[in-house]
Amino acid sequence: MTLARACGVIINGVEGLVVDIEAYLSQGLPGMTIVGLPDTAVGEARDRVRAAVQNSELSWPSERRITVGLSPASVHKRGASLDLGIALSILSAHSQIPEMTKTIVMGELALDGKVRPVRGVLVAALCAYRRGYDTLLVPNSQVNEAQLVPGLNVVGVESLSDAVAFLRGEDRVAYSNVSVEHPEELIPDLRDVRGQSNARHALEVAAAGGHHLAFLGSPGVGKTMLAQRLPGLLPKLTDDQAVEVTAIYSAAGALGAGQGLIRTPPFQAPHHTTTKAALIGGGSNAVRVGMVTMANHGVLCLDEAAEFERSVLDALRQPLESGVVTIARSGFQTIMPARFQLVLASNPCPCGKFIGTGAQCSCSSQVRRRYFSRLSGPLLDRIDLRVTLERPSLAELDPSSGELEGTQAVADRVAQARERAANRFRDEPWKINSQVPGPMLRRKYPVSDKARELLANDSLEISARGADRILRVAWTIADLRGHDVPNETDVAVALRYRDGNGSWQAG
Amino acid sequence: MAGRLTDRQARLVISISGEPGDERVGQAVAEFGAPEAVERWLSGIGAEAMCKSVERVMNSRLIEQAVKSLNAVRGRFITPSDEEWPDSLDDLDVAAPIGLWCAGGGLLADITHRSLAVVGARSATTYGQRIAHEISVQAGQENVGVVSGAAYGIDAAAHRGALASQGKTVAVLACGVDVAYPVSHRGLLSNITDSGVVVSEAPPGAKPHKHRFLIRNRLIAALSQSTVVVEAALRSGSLSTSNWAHVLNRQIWGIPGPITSATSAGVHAGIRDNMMKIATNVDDIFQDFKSPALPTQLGLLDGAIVAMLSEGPRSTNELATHFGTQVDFNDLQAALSLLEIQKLVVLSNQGWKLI
Repeated sequence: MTLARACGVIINGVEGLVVDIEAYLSQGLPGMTIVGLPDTAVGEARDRVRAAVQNSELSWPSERRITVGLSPASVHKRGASLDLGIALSILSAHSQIPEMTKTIVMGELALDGKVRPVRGVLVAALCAYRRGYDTLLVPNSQVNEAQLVPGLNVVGVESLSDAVAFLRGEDRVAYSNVSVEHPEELIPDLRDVRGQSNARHALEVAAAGGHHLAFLGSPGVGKTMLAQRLPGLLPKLTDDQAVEVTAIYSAAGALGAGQGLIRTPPFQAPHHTTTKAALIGGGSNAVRVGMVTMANHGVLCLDEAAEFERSVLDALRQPLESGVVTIARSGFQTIMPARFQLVLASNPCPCGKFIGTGAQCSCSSQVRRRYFSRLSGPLLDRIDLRVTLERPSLAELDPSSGELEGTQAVADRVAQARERAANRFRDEPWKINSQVPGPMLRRKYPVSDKARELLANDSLEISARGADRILRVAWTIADLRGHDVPNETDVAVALRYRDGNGSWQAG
Repeated sequence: MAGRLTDRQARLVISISGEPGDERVGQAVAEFGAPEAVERWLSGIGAEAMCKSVERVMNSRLIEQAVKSLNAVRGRFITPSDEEWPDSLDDLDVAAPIGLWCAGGGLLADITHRSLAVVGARSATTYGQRIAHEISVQAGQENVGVVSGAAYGIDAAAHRGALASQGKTVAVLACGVDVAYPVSHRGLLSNITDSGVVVSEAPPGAKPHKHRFLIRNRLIAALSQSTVVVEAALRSGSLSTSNWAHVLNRQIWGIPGPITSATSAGVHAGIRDNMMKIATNVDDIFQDFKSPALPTQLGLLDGAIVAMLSEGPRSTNELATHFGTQVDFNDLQAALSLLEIQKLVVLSNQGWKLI
């Protein structure tokens, strides 16, 4: 046998692509070439693979000319996850191991023959399962991850010689199909937040209706602390969502060793210097997952929102609108899911002191205006809840001032409210109040007459779009309070979130 | 016509017999009620002219003709017992109209419930017409009815502005509602009747006599809460409207023009004599209409909030901490919103405080 084949998977965005790895041993000048658009890392596999084979007490066909072909040949391959597959295909062509059928191999090789973890194992497992492969060889530390896909024979290998032993049918592998208990994920509890009644309430409403949320407050007032508690209030991910989210983390290489299926909605808080490509995803030959996709089904928190580059903020518009990001390059196009709940947190001005009397603020009015103009209209327009945070008073901070409601109690109410909404929307494509389109909202879900009168009150000067936002929030509040239709008090509560003290009117 | 007349029939007879705005007629109706007043005139008690007139009307086909002409324009005759009757007319006391002849798809009381009279010169300048148009466009947007005459110049511009912004407008005529005066405004009047009302005290077929215009002006003033005079020369009919508005204690706005403009001289005089308030932009005029429409009755929680705030400003969170678990946070937020709309509290930089 001088020709053999193995299969690996490469990751593009959040999707996997099965790559055929063919090895051909021919007469000619000894040497090895890899063809099929390898990047530098794949090209260097040549040296890693040879060292690994020789250090694993296996023989290297050093007198032959080795050609490794990666197909489809027109797609760029990157990373080291094909190392193990390349090594095994060569060994198979050299007749040291039997031919592999219906097997996918993932793993990077160290020079001593050890198999190192790679990103995207879960994606590879999903890909293998869907394409009808039945066996998956993965680095031993990533067995748990691969096992999240049921119905696949997952084999964990510590080293190249483990893999060879498995393929030869030797009974040496100890790690296949081991079930491991995963520790409960730790979610910050709402009980840790003292005072801040309005922010706690806003979080509850945001969780119940899926509304985007904006916090305005001076430094250290607890904006991030509050935002981190939102995932705990959201319902746990469904099975499908959990696999989707975990696969995204896997593709991004962000899954910790031994981590199970992600059940809690993810929380991503990119720093304000984050680039557009890192936030949205990007890359020239293969697409890397962006943070908006990592926040899929969860929360994207932009702390110091006004410090982000304007173009970075504006790039959020497509995912906010459609729930996906579409990345197009000259050679390909990739669509990645990005349905997240946005939490913006910002200082009122560059120095952060323009709150309350604002007497200590040293910023000029022009600087303050420019600071907010970054949060452009279209972005702010999609944010239903706007809250100004106040520094809690000493009385509020006093731990003896009574027990505060914890995450669980609030999450229960949120679940009930969501159930009411889901019941109302059972025949509709939208499931939560924040997703109802404006025209539908007015046509299909009228509020009580008194509530409408309240909104029409001239002194409020509400625009049509503003009225839609208020109505969406009012529905969520009605759901939380167990009202069938929002009444005037529900609308009155919603009015409190239209604009935190007028401060969010940019420029 | 035999037997005792109903109130409506009696008012119909009086409206056809008498001259609009005759206070002696109004006095008699107020004193005896319309049916008895008619009987008294028939039996020769009261002013001689009225007695003759009523007798002539009762013994002729004038009533029939008037009703026929009214039906031809699909009109209606309304009296104080009708729901469509605007209560604001009661302010005229004995000068109140006996009945009103109306034509058009709108309901008079609904439109005039929140309305602005826009009046001014027939020989208006382009500036005046532009401002009148702008004012009534905004009226249409703010759901404020426009009341005016049907003359050239400011009147026409006012109606057109209201119609352009899908607003409701009322044209008060000095002639019968079936008479187009001026004739070239036939199209405009017909547009007004689509959603608004054309209204007159005079019966159908009545001619636009000069003195009827001055009498008519009191209705324009009475029907609306504010009157704005856009352009008026020193001797202008519009000033009679503003005089009536003054008597009826209505807000009067004057739109200034160049001091060299004779068509603005009457307005300037009115402003100088404190008859009118000067309006320096269109928004000024509408500030009166932005009053809170909610009841000012305070609930328990509202009272507690107001009591708390009377000691000094408090933030929402401080209020929440103060009330503790006794008050649901939703209720607190709702109460604050409603108090804010009622303009009892305001959110300042220091927190909520009383106004």
